[in-house]
Amino acid sequence: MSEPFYKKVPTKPVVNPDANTPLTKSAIRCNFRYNHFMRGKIMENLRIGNIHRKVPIQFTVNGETVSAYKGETLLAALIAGGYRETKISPLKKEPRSALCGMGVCFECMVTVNGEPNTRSCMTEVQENMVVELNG
Amino acid sequence: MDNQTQSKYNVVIIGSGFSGIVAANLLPDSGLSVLVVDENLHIGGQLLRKIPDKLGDYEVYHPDYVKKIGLRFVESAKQKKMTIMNRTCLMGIYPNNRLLLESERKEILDITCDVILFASGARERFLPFKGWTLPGVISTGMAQVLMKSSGILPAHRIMVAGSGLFLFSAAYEILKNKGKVISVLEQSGMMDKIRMVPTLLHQFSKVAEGGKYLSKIYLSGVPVKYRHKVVEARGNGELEEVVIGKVDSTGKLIQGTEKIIKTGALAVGYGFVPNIEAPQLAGCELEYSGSKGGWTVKVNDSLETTVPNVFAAGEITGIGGGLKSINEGKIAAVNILKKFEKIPSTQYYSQMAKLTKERKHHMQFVHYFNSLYNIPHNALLDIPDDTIVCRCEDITIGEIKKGIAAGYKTPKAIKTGMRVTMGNCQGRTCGPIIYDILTLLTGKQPDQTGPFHVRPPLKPLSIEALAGSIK
Repeated sequence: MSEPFYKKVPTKPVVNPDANTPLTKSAIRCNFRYNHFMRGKIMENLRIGNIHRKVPIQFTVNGETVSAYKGETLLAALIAGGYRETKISPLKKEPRSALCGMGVCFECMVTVNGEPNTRSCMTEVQENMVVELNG
Repeated sequence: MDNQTQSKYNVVIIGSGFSGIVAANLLPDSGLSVLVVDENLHIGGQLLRKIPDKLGDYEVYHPDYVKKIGLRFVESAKQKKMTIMNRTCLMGIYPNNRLLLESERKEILDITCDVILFASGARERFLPFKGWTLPGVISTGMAQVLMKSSGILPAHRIMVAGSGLFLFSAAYEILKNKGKVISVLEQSGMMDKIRMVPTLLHQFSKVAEGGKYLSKIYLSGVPVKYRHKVVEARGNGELEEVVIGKVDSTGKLIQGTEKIIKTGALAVGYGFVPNIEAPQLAGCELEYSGSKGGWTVKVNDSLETTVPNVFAAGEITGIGGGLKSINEGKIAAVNILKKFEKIPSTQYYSQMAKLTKERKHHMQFVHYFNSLYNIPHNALLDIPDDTIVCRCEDITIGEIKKGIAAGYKTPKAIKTGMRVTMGNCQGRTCGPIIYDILTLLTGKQPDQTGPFHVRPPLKPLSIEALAGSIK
């Protein structure tokens, strides 16, 4: 049996030679996969297969570029991008993440475009959104 | 549908779930001005979630019978002459039916109306266990929301645990979307379910739905373990493995039966509690009934609450699912029309006779449904003292027990004394557990000690919105 794709060590990240020309799609994907591997996470594609997604977008999480699709909630895009942890609990400083997914528990709060304490489950992911976790 | 807001409406409907959207469909044709307010990104509430058109299209999409009805109502509501404001939060309710709303653009809207209809739905109930605060422990509802509205699985390998029928629905949805369900752990026994079947005589569609879920789960080879529960969730920074164990018929863990299972995510659900905060703020009387899902809004047969001109429909009068909400949405709409004298009395009585009879059957189901979610006392006693209960304020069950022993014996006292339920979520997550702990340790039923107090704003309000409203 062949090894699952996520166990293979991904190729080295592609460094952009010229800051003005954007990276190709395959290079972005390569970097994306490498970033995940470096964070010690298994690269999993969690997007369900039977949906024809329309508009791919990119946003940044703690400075790293993450791909998503227009119309997804920010929480879903974060989970699909491998970011589980959204905040640190106020007193015990434990990592936390969303529990209810429907705007009740306030555990999925992140900083979106400089605005703190935004519930990621009630926010739509937008192109070039700047997200800070663990705030 | 238009987005222009005015400051005076005939009817304001809080919540665009099943009952809200059904009522909204029946009102504007008689010339009433209607405003529908919903906090979520898209209208339709929790049950009618689907992949938004913006995101993409399904290859094949087969919504079930109840959902099909609901989606038709959502589509027709968009065509009618009413104002629908999604992504808008209700912040406060003041005398003379004055409402303060925070809109998506962070503006405060001041609205008055003749009649309010609360259709605020339900949220999930939790039972804490050691490690339930780890990232990766999610609710069964969140697993469904991720799949249904964003097309994303919470993880590839998911364990489903808790009690009640919703576990099977969540497991079914995961399997349908090509995720792997490691096992389904059900805290109660199989016999508890079968014993209740005779009360389901009028609920053929629900029995069929349950059968569909169970057959998919069994055919996929997923083990369904009755009388099992999650003892502990472990992991370094995020969930890695789960310790499960057998429980006896009183809900107590049988020592020595623990097993460690590796998993990517753990979806837990222990039933539902009604979102009664908004009606409570409006001054509506509440009643506590375990067989209706906890604190519910007290209504008469025409679904009017104890406050005149304030109606309540859907899950907040008793947790009972989609069909009950459709029925109650209709009842509320008919009675609101009667209030404005827009419906001939013969038509009113004939419709009400039919709807009231239907509602009786739905209320039978409510009692069955919620009896599945009874949390046994031993399950509460098994929780280790260092387990966090109030996630917002990091307060453990040990501290709460000490507080109760020190004399904080009512919800109000424990809130003031211990800071529980005072965090961001305002007790929406831990409140139901604290009622159970208080009942267990003081021996007094929640209706003797009263509910937690609510005050505006109902949800955290941004300073930006406040500053904008002063200008």
